[in-house]
Parts: sequence; C-alpha cells; structure tokens
Amino acid sequence: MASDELKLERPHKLPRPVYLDDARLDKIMGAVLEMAAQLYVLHDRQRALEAVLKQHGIEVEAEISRFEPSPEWLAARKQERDAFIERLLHDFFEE
Amino acid sequence: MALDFSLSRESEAYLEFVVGLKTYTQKAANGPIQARYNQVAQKWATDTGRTPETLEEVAPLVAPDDGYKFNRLVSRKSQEMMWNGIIAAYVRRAPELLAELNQPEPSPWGSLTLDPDFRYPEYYEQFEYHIQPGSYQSHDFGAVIYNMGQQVYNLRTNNKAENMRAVVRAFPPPVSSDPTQIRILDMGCGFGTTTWPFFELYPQAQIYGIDLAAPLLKLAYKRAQMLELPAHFSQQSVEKTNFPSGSFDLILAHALFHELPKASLRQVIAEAYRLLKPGGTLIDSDVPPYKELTPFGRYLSDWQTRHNGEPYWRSTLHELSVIELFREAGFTEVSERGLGMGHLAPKFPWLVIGCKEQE
Repeated sequence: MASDELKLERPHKLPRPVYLDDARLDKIMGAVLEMAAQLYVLHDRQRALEAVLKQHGIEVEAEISRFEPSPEWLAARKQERDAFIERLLHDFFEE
Repeated sequence: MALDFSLSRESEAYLEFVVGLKTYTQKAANGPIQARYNQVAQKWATDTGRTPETLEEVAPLVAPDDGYKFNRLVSRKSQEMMWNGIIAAYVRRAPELLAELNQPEPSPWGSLTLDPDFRYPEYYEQFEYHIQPGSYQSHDFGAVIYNMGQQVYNLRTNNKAENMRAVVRAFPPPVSSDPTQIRILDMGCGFGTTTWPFFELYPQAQIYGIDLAAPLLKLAYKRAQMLELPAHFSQQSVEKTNFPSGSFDLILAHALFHELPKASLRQVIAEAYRLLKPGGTLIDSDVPPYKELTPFGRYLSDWQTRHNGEPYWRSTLHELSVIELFREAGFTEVSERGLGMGHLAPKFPWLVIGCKEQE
C-alpha cells in the first residue's frame, strides 16, 4: 500500500472544542504553537549540524557565507516551504 | 527483521517540543492556575460556609480563568500536534513499516489469531480515542502511530514499563502451583506493553492477550517475535471471549475500563469473573477515580472526557464505582489502592483488585 493512499484525516468525528471564546483565536494560538515547534526543530537542527561539522573541523560561518545553492536545492526548499505554509494556515481556511 | 520506529532528527526535535508543551502545561495547571482557583474557592467557602466539591461547583470557579482557557487550548493543541508530528514522521516509511508488520509468522513464538469477520462495536467506532486521527483500528498504520503516541504521552520516559512491572507484582500468587499451568490473560492488551512484564515474573506461564483492534494485535505479535516471548494474541470482544470458564489464574485490565461505556464495563467484569479459576485474581489498573482527587484535580481530570478523546472517562471514573461493580459481579476480597508512580496523577496507577472465591 502506498503511503499516499493512507486516509489520515484530522480528528473529525467530534467537533473541535472552542477554548478562547472565539474559534478564530484558538486557531491563531495553534499557528503560534506550530511555528514555535518548527522554530525549535530548526534550532535543534542547527545545533546538531554545527556540532557534527565541528567534529570534522569545519567552521560553519565562513562556509555558509561562501555557499551557492543549486536549482535542485532551491526546489527542495520551495517544497518544504509550501508544506510548512500549508501546515501553518490549514486550520484558518477550514470551514 | 525488526520493526524500526526510529525517528529522524527533525521528528525527534518536533516531538521533544510537544513533550515540552505537555510538561509545562501540566505544571502550570497544577501550579499558578490551581493557586488562583484556591483563592476563588476560599472566597466561595466563606460565602457558602462549605468548600466546593462537585464538578458543577468547581466549574464556574475555574472555567472563566483566562490562564486556564489558554492552558487547556495548549493541552488540546499539543495532543493534535503529537499525532500530526508522528504521522509526518512515519508517513513516508509507511509501506516499509506496514510490510514489516504484516510479515507472515517468522518464528515459533506464540500466536496471532485475527477474526476477519470481526465487527467493531459501535461505541468503539463512534469516536477517535485520544483524538488520534483514524483511531487505532481503522488502519494498520494506526498501530505505528499509536505506538509512538503512547511514548510521547508518557513524556518519552520508561515510566510505562516500570508502572507495568509494579502492577504485575501487585497480583497475589497464581492458583496453580505448577508454573507451567499458570494461565494469564491481558484484557485490552493493545500492542503488548502490558503483556511483557508477566513473562518476567512467570516465565513458564501460558500468557494470552486480547484486544479489539487488529492493528495493535499485529504489532503485539510482531514484538513477541522480536522479544522471543511466546504470547498468544487474539482479536476478541472483551465483553464476550471464546475462552472456557475457569481458564485463568490472573487477569489484568490496564487502562481498559475508562475506554468502555457502562454496559460494556459491567459485561467485561462479569466476563473476567467467569474466566477466572476459583481463587484467581482480576486487577483493574487505571487512572485514579475522581473520588481520589481534589475538587480541582477532579475538574482537570474530567477535561479528558470531552477534550482529549476519552468519551467514557467520566462514566467509568466518576459515575460508576469499579470496586462496587467487582462486588456486584461476585468478587470477594475486593480492595483498591494507588501505586503512585505516574506523572499523570499522584495515585496512578490506581488498582482495583478482586479475587474469585475458592470453591
């Protein structure tokens, strides 16, 4: 079975409760938390990357300033960006 | 081959963040939010001459608090993020993981009996337990997701395994003196985390696990192969099993009863009574009932019912008395106590223990 055949929807059998007297506020708070999570993921990644590179004697800052991205690299970032935005804004556009 | 549930660094970090949200949210609820409640409750007590006790009395003192509202929103959101993060972590590897889960019996360890005509009861299909998208029975992938969900919910500690060892040690000695004749049943065994500790204490016993959810049983069986433990898993209704009367020395139902509606719960206890040998023991191990909590703790616990996919939480833990149901079912030497090991509640896991009278 291919993964794209998986029917994994958000919880749907019961309506999502409202917490802040206005469902729109709930959604904004949800987006803030999601952003915070992604920020933390990035932070973790960056720290891990720096640690790994340092083990190999690479000084990250100087290397990054010399880095020139390829079209493939940029396309992959774009895909990640779209997925991130979808995750960020999905709830706002429901119903 | 082993099932590989390892996560990418990104997924690890995302779920660690979720663990952080859950930890902080709980701490804040029991800290400043409870402190504010205490002040309001004190005023209420001065006005009325008694302390607030019931959910209805506590609700208007807690619910309007903005901090409480945000706290509950973050709690809800952390649960949604947990599932979404786990799904994102495994969805690309789903074909590989599902193939592994469905691999035919690779070794002689135990058995798995699924019922292709099994129909899930309406009470089970009506909701998504723990608000897991699709719940754990609608697709095999549900087992993969639930496996990690349970770990994140336990804040990625080994608490669950330790708790289960303590629960198993709480059983009185089995009826059979011949260690090979000891028969043990894990009712609502899920993917087997509640089953394995029995093998540590009773390595020669015949150990059975039953559950409704086929995906969880497949994972339990797969794990049995990996751990080389001869457990026998079968898909059965916990209300009415196909085991003969007097089959078991010990029966465990861990975190099962709060997932059952009232009528089912009565049937399951009666069924356990039927399945026990005379002198056998049933232990219900679960979160503590409301009566064991402070009025504020009770209100906080009750939140699970409508907000965290625990539709039968209130009916089992509050509206019914499990120890009374044990007595009604015929159990003698009935007792209850909390082991006090969990992060979920100070008295978790709460045990209700009943022995079936010797003939």
